[in-house]
Amino acid sequence: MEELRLDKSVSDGEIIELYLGRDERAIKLTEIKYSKQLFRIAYNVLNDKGDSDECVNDTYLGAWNSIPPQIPKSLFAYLSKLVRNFAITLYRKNTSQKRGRSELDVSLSEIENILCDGSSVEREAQSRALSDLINAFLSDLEKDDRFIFVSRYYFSYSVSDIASRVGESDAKIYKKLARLREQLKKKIEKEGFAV
Amino acid sequence: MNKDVIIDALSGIDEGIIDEVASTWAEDAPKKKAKLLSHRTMKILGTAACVCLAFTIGFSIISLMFGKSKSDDFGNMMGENTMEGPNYSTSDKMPSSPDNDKNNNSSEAPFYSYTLGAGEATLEYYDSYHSASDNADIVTVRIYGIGGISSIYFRENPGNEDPGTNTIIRVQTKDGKNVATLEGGIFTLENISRASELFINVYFAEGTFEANSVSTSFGGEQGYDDDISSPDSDGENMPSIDNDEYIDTVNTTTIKLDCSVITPDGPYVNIIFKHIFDNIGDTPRLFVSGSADTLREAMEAVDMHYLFGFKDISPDTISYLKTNDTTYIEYAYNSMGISVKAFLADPYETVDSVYGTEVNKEGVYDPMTTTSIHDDTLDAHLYECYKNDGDMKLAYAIIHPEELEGGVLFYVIHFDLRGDGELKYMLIDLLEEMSYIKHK
Repeated sequence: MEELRLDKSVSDGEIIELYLGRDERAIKLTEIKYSKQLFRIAYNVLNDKGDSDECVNDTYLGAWNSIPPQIPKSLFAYLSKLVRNFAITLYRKNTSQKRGRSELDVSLSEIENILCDGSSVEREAQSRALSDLINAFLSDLEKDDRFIFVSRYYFSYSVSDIASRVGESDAKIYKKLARLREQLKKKIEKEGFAV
Repeated sequence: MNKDVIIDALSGIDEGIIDEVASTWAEDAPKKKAKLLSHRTMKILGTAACVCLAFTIGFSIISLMFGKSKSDDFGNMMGENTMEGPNYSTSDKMPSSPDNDKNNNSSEAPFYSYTLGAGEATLEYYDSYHSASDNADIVTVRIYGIGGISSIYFRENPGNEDPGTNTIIRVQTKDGKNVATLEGGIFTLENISRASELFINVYFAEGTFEANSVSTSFGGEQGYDDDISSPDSDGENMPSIDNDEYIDTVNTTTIKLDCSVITPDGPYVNIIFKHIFDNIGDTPRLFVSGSADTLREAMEAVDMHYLFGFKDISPDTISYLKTNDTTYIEYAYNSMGISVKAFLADPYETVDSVYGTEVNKEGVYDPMTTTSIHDDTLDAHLYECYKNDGDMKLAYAIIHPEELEGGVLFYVIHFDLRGDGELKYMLIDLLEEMSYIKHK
């Protein structure tokens, strides 16, 4: 490890080993390798550069504090969940201040049409029930459709970003998302969830 | 539903699924396709498209009318442009450009075409014929590609201090509607959509006139920070250019045409401009636009199945447009002082680009929404929105809750104010007179 080069060629496994060994180069390598992607996830939620930078820095610290005991199977997936959580926490804080509209706002507004209010249900229980339902829905999807849905509604990537990533036109992604929302809506109705 | 509930629910997506998706995003982004053109590339292509457009229109028309000698003059006028035009007449079949074999889909059709760069802008001589009834020769030219014609001018006798010598008799659409205004010897075609198909008849007599087109190039992609390459004939290997803003450039080209026909009733040149603007390499977007006499005709044209109108009252004007981003029909009831724009769009992605304002679930003109009404008769949510655009009109949006194929149908109703600043009709008054029209 002493001869470890500080560039993107370092594998995730090596970086995790550095975290586990409490080697601070882990943070530097995480930054080198994933700072752009992590920033993008935060920015999708927050639509603010300064806040997004703050979230990314919190993510490095979060990873440092949580690995160990956590040993992620996929480093980037782990980091992406951390940064999203930090970003959403900050988003909730910012919401009352009426900041600019982020991709999260846009993606949520798309999906809240079909995930309507069930006022008699406890919020937490409602979230769990919805989570189960969404997971079941996602499990039944083709991998490509699952990628599009999760990229849009979990990571809040823009339609253009997703289209670019999967090599499709924006219009096709719009259509696929509309179809997926419709499928989810039907599933929700079928399961008797409050719609 | 409370957004927090949704956020929490989405946060509960299984880790395995998150890992699967995140792993893909962790990989390096795929190589940019040629379709992701940079700002400067688009400028260059837009300029080239206009030059090509001007040259070919002029060349086609002049060649048609005067044969090779006139086209030679035109070539000289264009300076160093050495593109050799075909020698043809209205009865000849025109060869295709060697640069455009892939667009020459019919070897039998009279055809002249020239393709720019990666095939993103193409101008074709499409057809020509003599109309005995009109006593006219008609040339059809088809243009498609990036950018679009935003306006066209026809100037009589350029350089002449005394304009208005009737070189151009009139400029009309194919169906006879006047589309141009004459001022200072310049006919200006107005209200030309960048995404439209135009049928233009130019009636001209002896003299010289100048056709001046303004083409606005614009792109649909934004924010690609990476360098991308610039075009060779296959649309690849494009030079490194930064691209971090929307394309919005205006290119102007001019062609001059000599006319020696004196008869005031003809001949005329009929030019079809058909623009399909799109990102390079993407599937061409098909556009339909025009005017209609009835709402049903417009609905048929853009394949919109629902529309509301008013009992026993026909709109005074109806126009429609369909792209693969949005579809709308706009119709005005002059006597009622209202105009309606019904558009089918993804409510949260496209509408803001249509209106340039943010959209949220509370209404179209966020944050100017004030009240909302639910109407059971129409099964629609009605949002009263004050529009702040300085045109002193109030706008109301009706959001139909039902998602149709391809998006949600929105209505935006513009009300003219009376002299005292009050509305002639309130939205609630109009509801009683509204009725849905179903097509198909």
